[in-house]
Amino acid sequence: MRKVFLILASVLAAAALVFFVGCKGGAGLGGTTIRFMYWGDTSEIQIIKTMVEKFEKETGVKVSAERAPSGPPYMEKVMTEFAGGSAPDVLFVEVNNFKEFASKGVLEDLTPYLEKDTTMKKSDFYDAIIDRFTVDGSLYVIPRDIAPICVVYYNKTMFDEAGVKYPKENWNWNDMLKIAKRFVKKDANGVPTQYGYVDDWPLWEAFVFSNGGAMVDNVKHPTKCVMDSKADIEAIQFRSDLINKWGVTPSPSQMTAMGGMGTSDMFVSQRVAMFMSGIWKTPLFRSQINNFDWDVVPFPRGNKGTIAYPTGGSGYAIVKSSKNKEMAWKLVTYLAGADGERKLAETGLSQPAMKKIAESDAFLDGKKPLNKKMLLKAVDYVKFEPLMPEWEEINVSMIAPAFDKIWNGKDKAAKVLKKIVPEINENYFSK
Amino acid sequence: MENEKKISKMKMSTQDAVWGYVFLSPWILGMVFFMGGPIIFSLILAFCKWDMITPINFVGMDNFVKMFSDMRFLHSMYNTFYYTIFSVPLGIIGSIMVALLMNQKWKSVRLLRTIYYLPSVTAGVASAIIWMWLLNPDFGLINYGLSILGIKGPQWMADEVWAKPAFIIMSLWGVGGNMIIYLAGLQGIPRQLYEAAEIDGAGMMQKFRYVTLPMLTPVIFFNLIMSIVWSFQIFTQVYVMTGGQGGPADSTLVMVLYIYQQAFKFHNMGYASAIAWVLFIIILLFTMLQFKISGGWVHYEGELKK
Repeated sequence: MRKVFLILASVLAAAALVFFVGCKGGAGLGGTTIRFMYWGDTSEIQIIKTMVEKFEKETGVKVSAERAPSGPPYMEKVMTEFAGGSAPDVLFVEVNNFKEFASKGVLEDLTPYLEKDTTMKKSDFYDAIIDRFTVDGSLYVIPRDIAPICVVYYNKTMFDEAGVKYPKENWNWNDMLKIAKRFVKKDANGVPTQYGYVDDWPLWEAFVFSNGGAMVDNVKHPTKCVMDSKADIEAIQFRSDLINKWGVTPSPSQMTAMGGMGTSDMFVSQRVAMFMSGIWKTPLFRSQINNFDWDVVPFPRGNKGTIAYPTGGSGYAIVKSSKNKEMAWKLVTYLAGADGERKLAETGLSQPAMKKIAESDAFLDGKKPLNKKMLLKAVDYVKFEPLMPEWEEINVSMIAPAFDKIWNGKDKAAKVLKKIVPEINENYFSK
Repeated sequence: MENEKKISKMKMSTQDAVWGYVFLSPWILGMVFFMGGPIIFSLILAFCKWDMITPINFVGMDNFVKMFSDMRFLHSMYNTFYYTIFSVPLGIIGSIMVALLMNQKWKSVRLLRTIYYLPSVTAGVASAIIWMWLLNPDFGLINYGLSILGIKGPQWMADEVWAKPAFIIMSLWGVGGNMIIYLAGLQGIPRQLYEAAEIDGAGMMQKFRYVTLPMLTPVIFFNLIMSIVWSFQIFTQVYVMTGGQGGPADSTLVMVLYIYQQAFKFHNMGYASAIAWVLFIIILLFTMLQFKISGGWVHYEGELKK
C-alpha cells in the first residue's frame, strides 16, 4: 500500500513540476530581451535576421524574433499572446490586419518617436501608407513596404505568337476583355485549355474601386456599407461576366478542375495570358519562368476612366504594454530603416515604403519586369479596406459565401448585393 | 478465519482500485491541469464578450440569444446534422460489412486487414489532400470510375449541392478503424452458438440475423455513440479542403468550423465559447438518449432479461 501512495505522490509531484515550470517559461523571458513577431518568406527572414544581428551587436540588447506563417496563423498567434498577457514588444503589421488593432488602444502612438528620430522622418514615406496607419492624428505603424494590387503580369511571347499588341498603360476594362478573348482556347469537348485573364484570388475590390465604387461610406470611420450602389453592382457583374459570359477567366470550379493548380501556376505554365496580383510574385516568376518573356502593366482603368487600386503593405508597430519602448523603437528604425528597405527591394519582393529607395536602383534594378516603374505612379491611386475590426467577419461570413454564387454563375450581382447589403447594414452598422 | 478472509479480500479490491487510479493518472492529471482551466474559462466566456485584446465584458445570455437569429449558425447546425445523419449509418453498415469480409479464412486476409486499417492511422491533413485529388472533377479517380459506367460525375467540392455528399463519401474512408472493433466483436462470439443454430437448421442469413447481429449489438452501440460524437465534431477535412471558409457558399460550414471562424478569424471569443457549449450539450443529449433507448436493442451476454 505504502509503495502505491509513494508512486502516486511522485507522479503528482512530477506533473506539478512540469506544470509550474511550463508556466514560468513564458514570463521569465522579459527584462533585457526585446520580443519581436513577424511573418515572411525565406528571403525576408534572412534580411530580418541580418538587421536583428546588427542591432544586437550595436546595442547589446538581445532580440527574440518569433516567426509565424503569414495570414490567419500569424494573427492567431499574435492574438493568443495578447490574450495570454504576454504580447511581444514589436509587431509586424499589415495594412489589412491593422484594422484589428487600430481601435483597440493596444499600439503605441509613434508620432513623438518619429519626430525625435534623426534617421527617418514622416515625409520619407509614401503619403498613402502613412495615412493608412494614422488614426485620429496618431501614427501607429512605421511602414516597411507598400504593395498596390494592380500588377497585371502578361506573357509577351504568347502575345507575339497570337499577334496581339501589348496592353498600354491607359487601357480600360473593355480593352482588357477584347485582348483576353483572343487567348481563349478549347479542346475537342469544349473544355477550356487556355484563358485570357485570371486574378490571384477573386480580386473584386480592384473592379469595384476602378469603377468608382466603394465598400463603405468612409474608410476610416465607416457608418454604412454602400456595396449596393450602381458602380459596385456593375463592377462585380463585370468580373462575373469575365467568367460566365465571356469565358476568359476560369470559374472557381474550373480552378478546382485544374487539380490544385494555383492561379500563378497557370501563368507560369502558359495557360493564361494575363495574371493580376501584386509585385511580390516577381521573385517567384524570375526563378520559375525561363521559356517565355513577360512584363507588367497596371490594372486597367474602369470604362469611365477611373484609376484606383486595392493595396497591401506592412510595417512595424510597438505594443503599448512593452517595458522597453526606447529599445523597441530603436529596433523598429533598424528594421524599417533605409538599409533594411534597400535589402528588401533588392530581392524584388516588395516596393519600399520609403520614396527615395523605391526610386533608387535597388528597386528599379533593370531586371524583369522591366515596366516595374509604373508602380511609382500607382501608389498615388491606392485605396484601403474599411478600418473596422468587423470587416473581416463581414467579408468571410456575408460577402464571400454570397459571391461564390455570383462567380459560379448561379446569381446576378444586382440580386445578391441588394439582398446582402441591407443585412450587413442591419447586423454591423445599426448601432 | 472466515472474517479474516473477507478483510483481505476487501483490501485486495481497494488495492486494485488504487492501481487503477495510478494507471489512469496521466489522463486525469492531463485533464485537470491542461484542460480543466480552459473548460471552466470557456464556460465563463460563454456569458461574456471578448476580443482577446480589450478587457472581458459580462453580457449575460446575449450570446445564446444571438444564436437563434444568426443564420450562419443555424446553417452550420443544419450542415452538421446533415453530415451526421448520413455518415454515421453508412459508416456503421460499411464497417460491419468490411469486418464480416475480413473475418473469413482467406489466405491473405491479414494483409487485407492491414490495408483496410491504414487510412485510420493516416494523418487527417494528408488524407484530406489525397481526397482533393480523388474528388477532382476532371481527372479524379472517382469521376473517372463514374465515367466508365457512363455517368458524368458532379463538380464535387466546387458545387454547393455536392460538397456535403463528398464529405460523407470521404467519411467512409475511416471504416477501417471501426472494422477492427467489429472484428474483435465477431471473433468473441462463441462457436457453439453457431453450432446450435446449425443443428436447428439455420442458414447463412438466419445465423447472421439471430446469432451474429444480436451478439454484436454491444459493439454496435459503442461505435454508434463514438461515431455520433465524432461526426458532430468534424473539422480537419473541411478546414483543409475549403481553406477554412466552409464553401462553396457556406455549404460545408459545419459547427466546429464556425466556432473556429468566430474565435480565431473574427475574435468573438465569447460567442465562440457559447456555441462550443451548445455543441457539447447537443452531443450530451444525443448520448443520453441513446443510453435510454439502448435497453430495447442492445443484448449483453450474461445479462438477466427482466
